[in-house]
Amino acid sequence: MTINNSGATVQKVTKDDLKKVFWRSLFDMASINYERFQALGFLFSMTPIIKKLYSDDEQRQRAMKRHLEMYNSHPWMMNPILGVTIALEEQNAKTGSVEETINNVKVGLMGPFAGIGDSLIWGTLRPLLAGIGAAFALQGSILGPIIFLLAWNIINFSFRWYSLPYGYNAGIRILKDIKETNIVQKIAEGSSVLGLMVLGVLVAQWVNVKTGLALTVGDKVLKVQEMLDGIMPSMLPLITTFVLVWFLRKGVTPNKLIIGIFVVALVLSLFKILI
Amino acid sequence: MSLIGTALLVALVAGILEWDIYGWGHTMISRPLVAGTVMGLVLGDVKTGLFIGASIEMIYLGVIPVGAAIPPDATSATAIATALAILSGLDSKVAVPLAIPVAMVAQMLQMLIWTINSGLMHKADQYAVKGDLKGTDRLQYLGSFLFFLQGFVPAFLAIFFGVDAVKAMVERMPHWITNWLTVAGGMLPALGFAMLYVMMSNKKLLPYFVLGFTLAAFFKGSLLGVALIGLALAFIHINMLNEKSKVKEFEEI
Repeated sequence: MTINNSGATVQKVTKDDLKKVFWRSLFDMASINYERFQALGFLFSMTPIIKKLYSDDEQRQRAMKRHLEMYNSHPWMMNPILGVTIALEEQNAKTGSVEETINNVKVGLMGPFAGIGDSLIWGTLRPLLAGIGAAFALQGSILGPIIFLLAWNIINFSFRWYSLPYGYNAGIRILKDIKETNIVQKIAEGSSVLGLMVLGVLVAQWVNVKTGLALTVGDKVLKVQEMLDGIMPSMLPLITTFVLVWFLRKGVTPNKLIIGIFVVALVLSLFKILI
Repeated sequence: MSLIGTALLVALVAGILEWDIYGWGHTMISRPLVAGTVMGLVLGDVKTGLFIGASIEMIYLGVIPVGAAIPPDATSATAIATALAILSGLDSKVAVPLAIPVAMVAQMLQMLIWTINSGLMHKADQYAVKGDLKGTDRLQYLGSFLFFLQGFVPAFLAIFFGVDAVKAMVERMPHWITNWLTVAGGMLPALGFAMLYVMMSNKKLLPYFVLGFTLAAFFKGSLLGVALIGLALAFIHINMLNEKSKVKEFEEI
């Protein structure tokens, strides 16, 4: 316990407080909205800390206002950012000197951390685990969803549990580290390498486009699909995927492409070009 | 069980699965792979649940939430498609592409909740003036509950009004529609993969995609096996980035 500038006693943040924050952080997106995204979720997670650090009404109101400012990042990343924020709030409660820094640090962290979360977790980890799980499930094995859930949640909850005290102990130093080590670019590129390899497998194995065309040469019937498989297996899935990539790069929206796929499938299936 | 009882059961399960997306924890019970299986378990047909869930999973594998974007709601779609397939005898292969429009409608419901939730923010601002932390807690739980409802209500309506309609449809479904939807279902995963590709790729990294595709298409490599090679290559790639930045530092000196 220390005494702050105005003479009131300030409690210290304990491990138990961090645990309370952890449990609350799992509600991070419950009030997500277009105006300030996860802001209320951030305040909700900070609530045990605010209660503890600010017994003075005015200070408590200011802290609430502070954490209702816009906040948006990858959901897992709220935990390390909460950690850093808690360290700063503690310092602020003691000295009253870093009030304006707090939101600047939050804003400075949520962008780079979202970059890591989007590329590594949404873009690579989840497709990889879900792809493996779905492949098992399509062979009729219930292990598919079980493996997926277990693997994901071990990583999910460990990351969120350990990154919170990590952020708290590291404090504001994290901002400097992110800049100096260039970690965001490294993780984005590294996970893209892994992600693209996985994507190559998925396109080859799980896009199903087959032609029913047959050529009659003399008295022989040549099945076009067999010829294509002889040249390059999964050729039509690859072509389909890259046609869609081309349209996406032209700025055509996914919803329009879905309608396009249904139309193309209707026409080509009627003429048995695709089966 | 009466139709209303079944509809309530399906809706309850759908609501809990849906709740996972924004409401709590991100445990991924909301993913089609799990949602389909759970719905199959509840309605006593795991095989159908596994197939529909995993097939829809492949379609939405590459569709990810970035920034302020709300992706199509694959959870509602899977829950409803699986339940309808089991309860009305709809062919699984047909149920999968029919989930797509359901996902689009459910996505609009999510957008609606994101908009409504802005109201929670304004209420929270008022609580902040009073320093009322209990008030903001209540708002957060309310938001969480809204996402449960977002799964519950459409699933209830779809089952209560849909089961008999789909049954009638199944009996009179012409062959060409089944063919059409099967072809569409085979193509749809390509869209999700294409979206993921656009997000991750640049010219420098294209060789890794070619490598993954080749290992799977020509050499029948399994996903996990190729992923391990990919993991090794990812670390090699990062090491090379480190070396490069060291050289740069050296040159700057």
